[in-house]
Formats: sequence, C-alpha cells, structure tokens
Amino acid sequence: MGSPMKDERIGQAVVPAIAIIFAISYFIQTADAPKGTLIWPAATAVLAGVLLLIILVQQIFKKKEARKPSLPGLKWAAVLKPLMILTGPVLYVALLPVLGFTPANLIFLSLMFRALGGTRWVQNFFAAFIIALFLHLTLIVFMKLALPRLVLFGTTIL
Amino acid sequence: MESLGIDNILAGFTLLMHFDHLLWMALGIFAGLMVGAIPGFNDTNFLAMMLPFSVYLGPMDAVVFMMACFCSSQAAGSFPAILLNIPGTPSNAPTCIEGFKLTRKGKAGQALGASIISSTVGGLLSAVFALILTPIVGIYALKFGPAELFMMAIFGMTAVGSLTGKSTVKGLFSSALGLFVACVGTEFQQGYTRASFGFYELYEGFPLIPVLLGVFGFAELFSLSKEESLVKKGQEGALGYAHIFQGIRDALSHWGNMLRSGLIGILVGLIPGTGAAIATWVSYGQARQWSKTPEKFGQGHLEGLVAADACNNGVPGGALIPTVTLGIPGSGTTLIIMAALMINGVTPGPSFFGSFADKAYAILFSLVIANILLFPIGLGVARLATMVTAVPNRFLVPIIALFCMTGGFAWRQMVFDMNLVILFGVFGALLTRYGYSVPAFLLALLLGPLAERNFAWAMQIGGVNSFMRPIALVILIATIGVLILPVILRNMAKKGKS
Repeated sequence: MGSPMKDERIGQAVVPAIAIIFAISYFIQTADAPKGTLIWPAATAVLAGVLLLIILVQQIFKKKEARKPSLPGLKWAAVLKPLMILTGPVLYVALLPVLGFTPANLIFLSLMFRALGGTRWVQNFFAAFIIALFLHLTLIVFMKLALPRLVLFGTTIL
Repeated sequence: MESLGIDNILAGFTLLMHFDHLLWMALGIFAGLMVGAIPGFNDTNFLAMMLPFSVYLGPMDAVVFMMACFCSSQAAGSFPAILLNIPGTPSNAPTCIEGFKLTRKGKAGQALGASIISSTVGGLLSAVFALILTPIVGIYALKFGPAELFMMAIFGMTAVGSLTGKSTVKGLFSSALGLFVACVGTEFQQGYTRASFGFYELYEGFPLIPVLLGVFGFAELFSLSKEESLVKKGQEGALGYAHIFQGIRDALSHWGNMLRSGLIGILVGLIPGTGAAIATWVSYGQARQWSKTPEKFGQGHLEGLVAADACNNGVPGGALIPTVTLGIPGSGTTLIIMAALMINGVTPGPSFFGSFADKAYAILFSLVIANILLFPIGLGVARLATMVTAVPNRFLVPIIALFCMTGGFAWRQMVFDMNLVILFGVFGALLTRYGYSVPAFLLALLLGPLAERNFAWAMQIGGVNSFMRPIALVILIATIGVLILPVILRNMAKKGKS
C-alpha cells in the first residue's frame, strides 16, 4: 500500500478511467453503425469528455493542502470485508442456476453472516432459514416468479 | 361544463360509499404497502398481474382497488428507502439520500413519521386538485410537445447535476455520463443495437431497476460493513410512536415545502410519459434551491425527505387527470388503471365526464379517501418497520445484498440482472467515494432515452424553431437559472462569511 495521499490520487482517477474505457469500447462496438444513429451518443460523449477534462485540470491545479485525503490510507483489514461483500454475491449468482434459489439463499446467508462476524452457527443458520423461507413463500409460492429451482433426478425439489 | 354539477359530484361520492368498494380500497392499501416495500416489484408489475381479475370485480371495485394500491405503494416505497437505503420504487431514490442518513443518525422514527405525513399531505393535495380541476385542466397537458418534454428532461438533469455533486462540474459530469450510458441498446429510429457488448439482455439498454438497486442499495453495503449497526451507539432508543409523531411535527413545520412539492408532483404527473421517478428529483432539486440550509442536503436533511415524499404522492392525482380526461395515461400504472376501465366497458377520454360522470367522480373521491386511510395504516406499519434498525449489520448486510439481487431479478426475471446489481453497486460506491453525483447519474440514465427521442422528434417537426415555443423557452430559462444558481449561492456564502 502506498501513502494515503498517493492512494487518494490514484482513487480519484478510477471513475474517469472507467468512463474512458467505457467510451472506447462503446465506439469500437458501434464502428459499423448506420449513419445518424451515433449523433446523440457522440454529443453526450463529447459533453462528458469536456466536463471530465475540466475535472482533471481542477485536480492537477488543486492546492496541495486541499488535496489531503479525508480518509486514512487503505489497510488490508479494512479491505477484507468489502472484498467479501463483493465475492460473496458474485459466487451466489454463479451458483444460483445449479443450487436453485432457496438452497442458494440458505447457504449464501449462513456463510455471509459467519464471514461478517456472526460466530454462532446455529443462530446464523436459523436467521438464514427464516429469510430463505420468507423469500421462497413470497416470490416462488405467491408471486410465482421464474427463479432457478433445485432439480434432482428430474424432479424439482425446492 | 355540465359534468361539473353538484349532483354529479354527490352521485360519485354516494357510489363510492358502498361497503364492497371501501373493502376493496382497504385491501388495495394493504397490497400497495406490501408491494411498495419490496424492491424491484413495484405497483405497475403487481397491478398488471391483477388486471385479468378486474373483469370479475367490475369497473368500480377494480379501479378503487388499483387507485388505493397506487397511492399506498408510492408511500410504502419510502420505508425500505429510509431504513435500508433500498428504494422500493424508482421514485423513492431521493428519499434514500436523506432518509437513510437520518436512520444512520438514529432518527428512523422521525424520518418515517415525516415520510408518512408528507405522503399523506401530498396525496391529499393531489386528490383534491384532481377532484376540482380534472374536467378543466386536463386539456392543457396536450400543450407539451416533444420540444417541451426534451427541455423538461434537460432541466431535470441540470438541476440535479448542478446541485447534488461535491462540485458542480462533478455533478454535471455525472449527468453527462448517465446520458452516455443510456445510449446503450436499440436506437429508436433505425432499430440499430448500439453497443450491447454481446449481451441480448442489453438490447433495450441498461434496465433501470437493477441499476437503481445497485447504485443505492448494494453500494451502501461497503460502508455499512465497517460499522456494528445502522444506528450509532446511544441512539438505539430513537424508535416508537413518540419519535414518529416528532417526525410528523417536524415535517409539518416545513408546510410550504410540502405544498410546493405536492404541486410539483401534480404538475409533472400531468405530463404524459414523465411520472413519479422524474417528479421526485425535480422536487428534491427545487427544495434544495429554496432551502435556507442547502449545505445540509445529502446529510440527512428533513427538507429533502419531505420534498421527495410529498411530491411522490402528488403524482397519482396529476397522472390521473390526462388518463380520465384525454385517455392519455400519465404513467405505467395509470395505463393499467385505464385498461381495467376499458375491459369493463368504460372508456376514459374527453367524453368520460359526460357519459360516466358518477363513476368519474367516484374514482376521484377514491383517491381522497385512500390518502386519508393511508395515514393511520401507514403509522402502524411504520412502527413495526423501525425495528429493523435494531438488527446488527453482520446480519443486515447479507440480507440487503440478497434483497437487492432478488429485486433486480424480479423486474425482468433474468439472472443477468443480478450481475448488473453487483456491477453498478461497485460503480455507485466509487461515484460516492470520489464525490460524483449518484442521483445525477441515475436521473440521466432514466431520462436519456426520453431526451433523445423527443429531441429527434422536435427537430423533425419544426427544427430549431420547435425549441422557441413559449413553454420550451421558459423551461430553458429555468435551466440556465439552476446552472448559475450554485455560483451565486457560493458567492453569497463567501460574502456572508467575510
């Protein structure tokens, strides 16, 4: 990890970088677009580009004192929980079609409760069971949403 | 004007006062409170599901049920917005900004109380307005052509962009970025699919609900995980009816803001194709402009919450006016209400008040009574809802994550949308962390297609001259005003300090 100020400066570049990457990939994808379909996107991209340029110029010429970070530098302990919040749902969505909605909810909630500090497995599982049951009854039984279901030997279990 | 007779008005009221109509109204309120509180599953989805059953109910029971559901779902969408930062409906996004911050300060009870009274006042105002002026006003909604709608969209984006970012430039950049992101999907004139990145799920562009749940609900999880509970230690006791009534009293002290926001809701609701999601942002921006303490907006300010919720419930009355008088539904929900009338043999339109005067007034009265009933029922639900703040964050964070993803799925029933919730959750967290404006980004994403379409139509109809029509010009001047206003306010603040 670098100094807090350096981290902050790198962080400030993240949103502009995402915007630029998005714009480049957008115009590569639409290289074969018929005439006239890209006037509006081009106009909005130019507008965003001009405003981005102003933001970057403001960042560069900002006084040193004003550029002090409002938050302390990143530490691994502080990064761990956000990382779990990110990877947990990604794994959940990946496994959802295999496990089915209700079993996936039960496993996801139990593990996430534990990962975020819930030390009692029984309490975690009980809370997860209540939520999973509520969602099952509301969304699958009552509203009949086409959520992925657990299928074993050709039979829908949950 | 014959339809305005007192006999017709009394006949409408008498028609409504049947036990079965009132029963269906109460059921509609309960259903709306449940539906509004579930993210991603809004009143339009629910009423669309109920539409086939309206044949068995008959026009009055069906429409009374739907109107009650419409009103209460708008109000109930604020509950998860205030307590969990998950907007129950797209129009509750501004409520998240102020309401959730109030919850974090231990003022969930006050926030819910303020929300209920604002919703009730906004709803009643719009109902009374609709009742009195529907037969007269509806026709003026037709004056809004493509140029005016385009200008309205630009005004909304500029107002929110220039007022909600850490700096004006960052706010406006967020708006421009939202507009650009809205360009993904099928172009409306030639049918060319612009940059769907190989996903058929993006042929219609980025879906609003998953993006909304991502940038508000999911994005908040990263900061929530750093703390033990929603409410700071020592403030846990801020629940119960005493705090809800305190919130009601505080909100009523902003009565001018409440009435103005309700009127904004009615006016925007009047314009077909706009709806509550746009109205609440316009109202929120206006409240900040008129406020004596605009610097407190975004940090849990009651004025912003009052503005968003009063406006939110002001929309149904406004949206109902073009629906019943012109046969032009002002929103998705009023479209379904119109359909329910039509499949029961009652056709809304210019002759509606002439042919079905008693039914027309009964529908308008149902809006008034639904808003009156909403207050006591809403209070009971709010008291129970505040208990959520006692749940530790280690339980709340995964539950919110799951509700956001499930809500994202419920909209189009696609697992792909769950990925979008996560993706936009991370993006929303970055926008907030580095001082960009999430509301501006979101509003531009919502209004982008509307702005593009109406701009193209206006240019085809009358070229640049389309934008020189009086209403369009007035909106243009207002747009320039909101752009200059932050500069003036900053200078005034500097002078005040010196």
